[in-house]
Amino acid sequence: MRRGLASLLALSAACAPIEQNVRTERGPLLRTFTRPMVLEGGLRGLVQVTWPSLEVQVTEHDVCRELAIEEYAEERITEKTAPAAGAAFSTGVATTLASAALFGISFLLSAAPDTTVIDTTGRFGPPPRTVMQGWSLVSLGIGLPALAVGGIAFLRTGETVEQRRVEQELGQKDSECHARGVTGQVRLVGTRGDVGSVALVDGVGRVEAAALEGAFNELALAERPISLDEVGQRTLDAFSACLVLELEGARAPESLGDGDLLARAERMRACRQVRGEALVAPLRAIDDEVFRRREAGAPGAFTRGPQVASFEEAVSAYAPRLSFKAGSADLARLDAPDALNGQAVFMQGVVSSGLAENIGVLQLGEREVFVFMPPKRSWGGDFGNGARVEAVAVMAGWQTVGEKTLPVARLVFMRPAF
Amino acid sequence: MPRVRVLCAFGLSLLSCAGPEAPDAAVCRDVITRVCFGPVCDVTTQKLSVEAASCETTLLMRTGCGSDGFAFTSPTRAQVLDCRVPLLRQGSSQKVKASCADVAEVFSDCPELVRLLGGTP
Repeated sequence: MRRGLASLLALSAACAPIEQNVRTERGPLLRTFTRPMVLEGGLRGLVQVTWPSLEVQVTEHDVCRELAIEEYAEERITEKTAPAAGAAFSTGVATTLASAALFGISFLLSAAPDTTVIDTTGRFGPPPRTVMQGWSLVSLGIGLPALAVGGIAFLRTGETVEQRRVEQELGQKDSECHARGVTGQVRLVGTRGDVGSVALVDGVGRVEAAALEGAFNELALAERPISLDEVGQRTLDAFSACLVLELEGARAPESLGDGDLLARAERMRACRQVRGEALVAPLRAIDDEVFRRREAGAPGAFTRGPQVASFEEAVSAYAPRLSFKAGSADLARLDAPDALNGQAVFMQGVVSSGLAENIGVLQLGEREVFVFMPPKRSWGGDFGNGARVEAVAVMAGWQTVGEKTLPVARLVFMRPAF
Repeated sequence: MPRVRVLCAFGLSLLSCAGPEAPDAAVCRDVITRVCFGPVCDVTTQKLSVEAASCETTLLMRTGCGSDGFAFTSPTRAQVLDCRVPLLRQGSSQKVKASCADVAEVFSDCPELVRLLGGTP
């Protein structure tokens, strides 16, 4: 009996689906605080060159993070509604009342059997009162479950409020912390693999150039890369350039091809950062040879770029990012033309003098620049002294001609302007 | 006890479809009423040798069903109820006429009933 009743209730509950709607409402700010965290950091390196020695300092650090957090009160409101509850309940009330009414009316009807009917079993037809009470029972059979469905659904509906605290991260501040020296073998990694190693003791180690097999551009401790700042990376590149020069040995500039000559000049400029005065004379000899070949019109004496047939093509192919003309802020970059080597520039100025067939001077505001013209030019016409021109060119370092030492650029395309 | 209550409720619902058991006299009169319901079938007049106009009166007199104390002996009540089934095919109300084919079926299947009604099987 109890099982039957429980089953009936379960069925009734299943007939009254509950819709659940959850919404969250943000409350007032409770507090603001910072939460410190320590994360895995990395390796940082410092390099110092006292030719031919390279000193490496490596420290390991953690990342100390401070999370700025705001804590709010939050209410999670769960609303449960049963759309069918009202209809079920009202149906239940109506049919139960109808059942009661039918039951009451039945007592006004005759209790005598219907003698005009005898069924196949030999029984008279039921009395009208019994028939009415039967319908009353049917009506009650509909009404009570409907009442149960509606009632259960009403009991299950309502609103519950859950209060809790939530955190919202506003931001974070990271800093390196807990720096400590490390011990181990630092790998010197070049494009073709390791070229040597440095043994670290308490985070410091030293290696001689002679012990290395070639150029390298990265440091690593086991498989962990060691990061260098910009100055450190330049120092490492300079040391590598010196290493390659040492491996190449002394070579007369005249004996080098155009490509090798330019590459050696690049390496010497880089190496000069760590060897200083020791390379001034060799570099000057190289530069003189480069100039001589450029003056003679050797096409290989310049870093080659795409061939163009118009000024627009030159702008499209070389995409100059710097603009050298009167009043331009970029003109200050001409103080260090070595840093601009190979960069495409736009120039607008006045031809101030033609020193030789393939070399001239452009006046760009208050600055002057040597310009080399390739023997096979893509543009026509002559530009004499005083001609106003604009050009796309590629910077190629310093050049000394006679008493003048100026930044030098190879012209890609030039045309009359302003 | 709870089971008894459930059974009682179920029984009440069943009882609402049927009344008390009809006495033998009522059953007998019901059969005669249905057999003689006009227009009286030819098979009735032939098998029971009655006039159509006085069919019901004649059969009541022959069987003695007019008396409330009448009781079936041969055929028994069960046999009569069984034989009567074809007469209810058109409806259980006495205001509905049984078809002549059903009446003929009753007479052919139930010779005891024919003899009770004073006819010749």
